[in-house]
Amino acid sequence: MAVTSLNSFLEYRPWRGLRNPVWMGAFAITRESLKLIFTRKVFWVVFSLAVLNFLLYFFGQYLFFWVADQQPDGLVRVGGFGRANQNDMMQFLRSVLKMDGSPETFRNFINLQSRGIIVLLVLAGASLLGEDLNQGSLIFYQSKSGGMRNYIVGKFLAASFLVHLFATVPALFLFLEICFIDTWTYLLYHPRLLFGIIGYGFVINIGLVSLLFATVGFFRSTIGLIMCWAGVFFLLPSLCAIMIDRLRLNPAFRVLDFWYCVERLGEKCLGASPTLLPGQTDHSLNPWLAVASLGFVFFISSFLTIRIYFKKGVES
Amino acid sequence: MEFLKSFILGVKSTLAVHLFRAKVGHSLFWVSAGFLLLVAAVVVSVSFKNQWNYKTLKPRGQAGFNFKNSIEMIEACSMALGHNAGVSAVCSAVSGANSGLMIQSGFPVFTKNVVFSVLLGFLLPLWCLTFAVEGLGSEREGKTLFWLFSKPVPRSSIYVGKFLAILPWVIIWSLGGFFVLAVCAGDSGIFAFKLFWQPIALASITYASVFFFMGACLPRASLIALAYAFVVETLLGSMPGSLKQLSVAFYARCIMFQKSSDLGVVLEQGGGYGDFSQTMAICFMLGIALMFLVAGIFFFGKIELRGQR
Amino acid sequence: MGEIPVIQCRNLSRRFGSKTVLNNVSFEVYPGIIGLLGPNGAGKSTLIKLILGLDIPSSGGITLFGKTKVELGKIGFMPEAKAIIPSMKGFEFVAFAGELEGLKRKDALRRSHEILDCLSMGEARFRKLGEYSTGMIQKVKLAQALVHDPELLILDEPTAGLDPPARNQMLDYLSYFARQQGKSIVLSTHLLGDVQSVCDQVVVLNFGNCLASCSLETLVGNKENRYLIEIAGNQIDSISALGNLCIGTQDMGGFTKVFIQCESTAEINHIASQVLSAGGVIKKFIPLEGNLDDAFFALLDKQRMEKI
Repeated sequence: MAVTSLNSFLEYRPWRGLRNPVWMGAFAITRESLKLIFTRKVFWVVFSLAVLNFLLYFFGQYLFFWVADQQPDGLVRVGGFGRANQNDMMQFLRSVLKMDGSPETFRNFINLQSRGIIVLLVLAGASLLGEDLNQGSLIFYQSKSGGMRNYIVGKFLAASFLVHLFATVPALFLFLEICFIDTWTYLLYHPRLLFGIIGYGFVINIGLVSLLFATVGFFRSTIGLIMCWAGVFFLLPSLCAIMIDRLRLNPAFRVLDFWYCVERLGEKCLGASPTLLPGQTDHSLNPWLAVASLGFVFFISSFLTIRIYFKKGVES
Repeated sequence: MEFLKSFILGVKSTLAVHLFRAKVGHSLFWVSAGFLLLVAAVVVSVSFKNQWNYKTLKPRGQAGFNFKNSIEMIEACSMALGHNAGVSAVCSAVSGANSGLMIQSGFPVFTKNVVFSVLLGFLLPLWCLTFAVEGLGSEREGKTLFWLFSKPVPRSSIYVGKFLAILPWVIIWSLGGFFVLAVCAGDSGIFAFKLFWQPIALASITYASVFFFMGACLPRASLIALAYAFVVETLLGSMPGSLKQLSVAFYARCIMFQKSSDLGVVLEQGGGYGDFSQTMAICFMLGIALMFLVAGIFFFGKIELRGQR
Repeated sequence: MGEIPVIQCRNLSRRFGSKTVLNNVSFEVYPGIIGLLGPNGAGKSTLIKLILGLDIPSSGGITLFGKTKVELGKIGFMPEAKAIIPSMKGFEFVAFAGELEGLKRKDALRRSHEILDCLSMGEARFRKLGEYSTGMIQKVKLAQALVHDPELLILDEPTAGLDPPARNQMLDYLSYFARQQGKSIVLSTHLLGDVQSVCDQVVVLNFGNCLASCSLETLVGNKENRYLIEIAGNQIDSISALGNLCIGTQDMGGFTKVFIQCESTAEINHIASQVLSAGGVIKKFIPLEGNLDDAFFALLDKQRMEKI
């Protein structure tokens, strides 16, 4: 064929520059996935709720230490509204809201934040992973030097980043805040808390992200993801409540409730004392059973992930 | 007359084409089946431990005290008053009646814990959703509506025909699911099934109509339907107050509440389920179903097909 | 040819369960544009996946540039599927592909713009891929395959869904990269016209069997110095004047189609003057070109006959 329009081309230039090691490609995948999430409205809605919650705890702590600093047995001026009894306020902050820098403070805070993560991952998780499966983009990643290994690592890092952005990092900020308000001896007396926060973060990270990979890979759509996660985070807890709290079956059945297990492990990490939720009759799941539940989910999910992502792409 | 003829023709042909082509292979179907299996397994494990009764159930607000304790207390009373024949006879009669009641209490316990909460509040909406939203929703998203609309029959007949084609599947699946759970629970479950199959079937028809409307007429139907199922049916439906009258499950619960009240079993105190008579509740449910069917026919006739890409 | 073959397949087979997708395929191809031809379901995509190392052969082996280990960094692959990320902008996507191949971000971005310039993609590169037309998507997909300057390009249906001008442009690019930049290109397609217009070598697959692997000319047949003349007027005299140059005639009613074979192009004028002097009128005088369609269908027919 006569090559007629070639003079309209700009010349192609060969390229022989230095290359990064191949595994660095995973970071590019992480960056692009996060960019994708940041363009979603749902991310900003959930993020602002999480920030509100963080601010509540931040100033709650502040208030607690401020009230504690006032004259004992005196009345505390609350803005322009009048005075409140110092002990009442301390009591309220300490035992109702649990904002006293204790392990329970961090447990409650991370539990609340992780609800946000679940909502975010459920609504945006499909765009993080599922669209590649639907659009046939997997072959794009497969045919690059890093292959699927880079893809899985990159996406895992992206999802983990979200988890830590919502849970671990703000919790560490709270910890730091208390160190500043109180004294740095707080850090010396509570080193476990610091590691507990990080540990709980990683428990949530492993649990949620592995679940996300497997469910998105299997269902490939937001709808399937929502239904499946509704089963895990809604149906299972209510079934466990019926079995254990109302019909008094063996409390070990709570091992079915994956999210309860994660929270229980987090409690163990932080060393927080167990607190009964309304309607709950028993809160004594063996931590090893909780570990087993998390491990089971992790291994099943990893198995599914490897099967789906490493094989499906070849077929499609 | 001409319209009626082509309408009937349309319904007949759509029904014939789609009745046996209900999509059961998609992933949502497997989730619903998985939920059924999960709940069935839980019900089996409870039946296995023979726990479908009040023996270990706690009266409201009394921690560490259950119905079994109360019978033991009555028996202890009769022991203490042993020398008085009359009193001890009354006591043993009371305790005997109570323990007899306890053994027979499987039906209300099962109904309260499984049928009222899990089945009506969670499983039934999801099951109906998986079939009904896909009905015309898959055609909308798959852009095959062009093909359907190219037939010389009114659009309303396509809507009605498709609805009738999915309806048997919805009813079979929900009643079948209920039956499986009932069998798993043993005698009391089967008793509950015999008593309650009508409201469950009625509720599934109503849900089917609502979700079918969403699938046919709304963009992103599955998401909206899921949001409806979780927010309106599950959350509002289980909240106190009159807001729950917005949910379909409420009317099914009314019928069930009264059916069991006729037998002398009060399923839930103060749920407001006594406010609607059975006939009224049935009328409400059928009314909702009909309303969404008519709305669906109206809006479906007005859908503008965008270009295919 | 003393060159190292670009791709060499030895007794390659791939079975999925009882279904044999590739059956004992052996061929070797040399630098240039290689057409991978076959009807739908012939096993082209499977072969490509085997070449890329995304799938493992049931038996047999492949060498690329004489090495058995696949170096994906030396290959650029343009998939058939849409395989884009709709929310990314065109130049970002190409740069992203470069980064996955190990280019530094700065290099990747510069390179992305270079390639898109080269493919004459203007301002459109700053738009999101979701808004692209099919032609632009194909260009971006070609660009992402080229961004790391591979030696071998594997293109799966690059002209699918393109209108004729865009298709011609795509084929122009391919021959430009092969002829002037020295890239080897594997072009998988079922469009015979594409192959005939740009390819040097052809591998024909059907039902998992390799029916032919040779240069295009060998497959199509050497039709040099064959001509078709349509003669009106005094047809009988004209034909007899041509003598044994004439290798076949076909009476079309008002005129006759005459196929001739001559020794060299120098004889053409001589032939024409002979026809004219015999009282014939030349309506058409066209060189005969080999036709890939005929050769391709002949191969398929042959296979069908062998099966029976």
